[in-house]
Amino acid sequence: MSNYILQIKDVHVEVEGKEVVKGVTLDIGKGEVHALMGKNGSGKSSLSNAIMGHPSYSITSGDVLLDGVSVLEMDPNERSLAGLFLAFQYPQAVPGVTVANFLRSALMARRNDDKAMRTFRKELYAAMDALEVDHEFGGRYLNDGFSGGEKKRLEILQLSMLKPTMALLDETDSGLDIDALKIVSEGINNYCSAENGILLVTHYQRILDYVKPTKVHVMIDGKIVKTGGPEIALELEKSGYESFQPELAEVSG
Amino acid sequence: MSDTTIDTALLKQVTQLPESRNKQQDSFAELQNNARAKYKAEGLPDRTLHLWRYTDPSQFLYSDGSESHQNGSAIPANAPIASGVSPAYDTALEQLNAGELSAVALDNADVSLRIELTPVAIKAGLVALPLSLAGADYSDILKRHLATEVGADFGKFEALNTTLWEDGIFIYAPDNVRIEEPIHLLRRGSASSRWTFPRTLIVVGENSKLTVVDEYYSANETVAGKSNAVVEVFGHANSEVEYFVLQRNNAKTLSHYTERTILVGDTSKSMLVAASFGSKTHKANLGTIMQGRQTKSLQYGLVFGSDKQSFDHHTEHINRGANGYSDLDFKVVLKDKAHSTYTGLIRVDENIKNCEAYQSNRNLLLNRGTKAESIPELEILCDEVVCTHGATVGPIDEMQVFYLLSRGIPRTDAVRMIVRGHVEPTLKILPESLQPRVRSYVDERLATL
Repeated sequence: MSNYILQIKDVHVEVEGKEVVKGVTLDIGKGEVHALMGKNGSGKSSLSNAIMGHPSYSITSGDVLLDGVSVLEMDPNERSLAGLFLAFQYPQAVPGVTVANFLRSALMARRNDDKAMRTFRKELYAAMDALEVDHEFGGRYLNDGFSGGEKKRLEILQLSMLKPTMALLDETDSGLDIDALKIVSEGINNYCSAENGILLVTHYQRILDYVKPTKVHVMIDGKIVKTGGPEIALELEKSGYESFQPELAEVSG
Repeated sequence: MSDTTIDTALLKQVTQLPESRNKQQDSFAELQNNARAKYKAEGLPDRTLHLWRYTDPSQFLYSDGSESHQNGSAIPANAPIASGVSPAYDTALEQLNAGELSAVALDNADVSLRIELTPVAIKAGLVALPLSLAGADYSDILKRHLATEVGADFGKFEALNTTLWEDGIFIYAPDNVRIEEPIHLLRRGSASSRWTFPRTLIVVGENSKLTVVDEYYSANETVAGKSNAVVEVFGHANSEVEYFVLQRNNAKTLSHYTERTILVGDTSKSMLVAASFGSKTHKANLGTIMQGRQTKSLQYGLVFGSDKQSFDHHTEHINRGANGYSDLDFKVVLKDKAHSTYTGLIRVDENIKNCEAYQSNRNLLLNRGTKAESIPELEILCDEVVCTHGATVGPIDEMQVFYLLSRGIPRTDAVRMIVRGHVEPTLKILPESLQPRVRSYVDERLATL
């Protein structure tokens, strides 16, 4: 068994015929939190969507291994059951489907056992309380008319209930005010354990004050241009992405 | 005895039926003769008009070879209805016994018409009678309402119903009578393939409230039934009426259905919900005429077609009183080779100010081979109105599917959830006594995806 939960091996991603991820390699070990930082359009969301199996993003070469097993031939639901989770940047609204019904179905797909579902309500309410979400949330239609902050909380609520081994969090911090950011960060930290991994995709250093990364990667134009410790995020905050442009990096190096 | 338990002696008293269903028509002779003349004189509807562009009107012509009446044989009077004849009726009676319904009617085309009310409803003042018996005590009410909106002059097939209706159902809430539990009308088609002509008149008095469920179904799964139904609903000042029509005929039935709600009085409110699951061809025309001032009308449609079913629905919101509010939400789901046409008219008459009128029609196509047409029509003759309309026709949103897949939900389940979600807001407003059954019709169709 591999020590890595997620291995991204020289992955290239195309969307509508255009290459947006141009060879990314990244290994995430158990208990590790990796931050993937980059400007809008740098390819970080495309990478996470492609790993989850989004129909608009195709992985044209390379491989993605979850616990040592390639996920590329799996359907998105199989990837989910294998332990992969993507907290979406823009979670999809599904009118008419309640949050509770949706979560119940997602858990049923894992447990496939009515007995195991008896504790569902209790689990749901506990998870809601931890994220300071009103219980009436369970009766609302999935992301339908939710505020940006509510959508992000719901993504983390799902994370805490589905307990994946590998979580890709795509700009979960965007659209959150400072109080909500703290609560959501706490939710992420509660999920963290020695057995699972996190890839935190973000623009800003701010969430890294709460969720401490093991490693930080900087992505520019579809490639990872720098990898290091948390200090890189602080450097980014200070001097911006420009200083990480490959040609500038070479000059300064 | 609790208030909701049925007193059988009282029941017998209120379910007295005529000697023969056919004798009752005498008091309506003039009305019906006039309608007969109109039916004969009027040509087929013009197929270049949008209302008939998608459905051939000639199939609704009366074709049983006799214009005298129905099947010609004497129908046994007040025939008892054996349990098991109609499971839906047995369920409704259980609900009546439990006090969940205030009245139940079985309009059994070949046998009899039987109406039962709870003592609570009787005591509260609810009137539910065969039209044939209503004339004795309510001739004035009948005269002022029956066939005044949907009668000889409405159209050829409405004239036909007015000519040949079998014993109809009269529901009346006099002024200040508020009945919370629904009245459930069951219209069981004929076991032979003859035409049936169900007829309903609902009158809601001032400050009164009624909820009516009107359910149409076939006698069995094999008969090629033919039905031409007319419903008129009147709401007087400050009244509230909710009317739910459920059409679940077998897939061989031909059905023509016309409904009008007339909000006669100021501040009256109506809600109309039409759920269409059955028939080979179903042509329905539903509408609310907002005559009073400050009236409110909500209309909901739910169509779920499969195989080669063809649905043709038309709705109307006619604003004739100032400060009216109307909203319509018409949802369609089609699979296999089913077709649906929807035309929706909003009309605001001249000088009818400060109206709000909204309309939305959404069609979900579950596979190639299905077809949906959506034609909104606005005739706004007054400037001071707020009016919006929208229509969508398309397959299931793959982004919604992906979101559910990404949580481990298998594709088929994901699609079912999304379709159920599409119709859920409409299912949710159905009376509790009806909801589980209608949900099961949706699930039956989804089971074969």
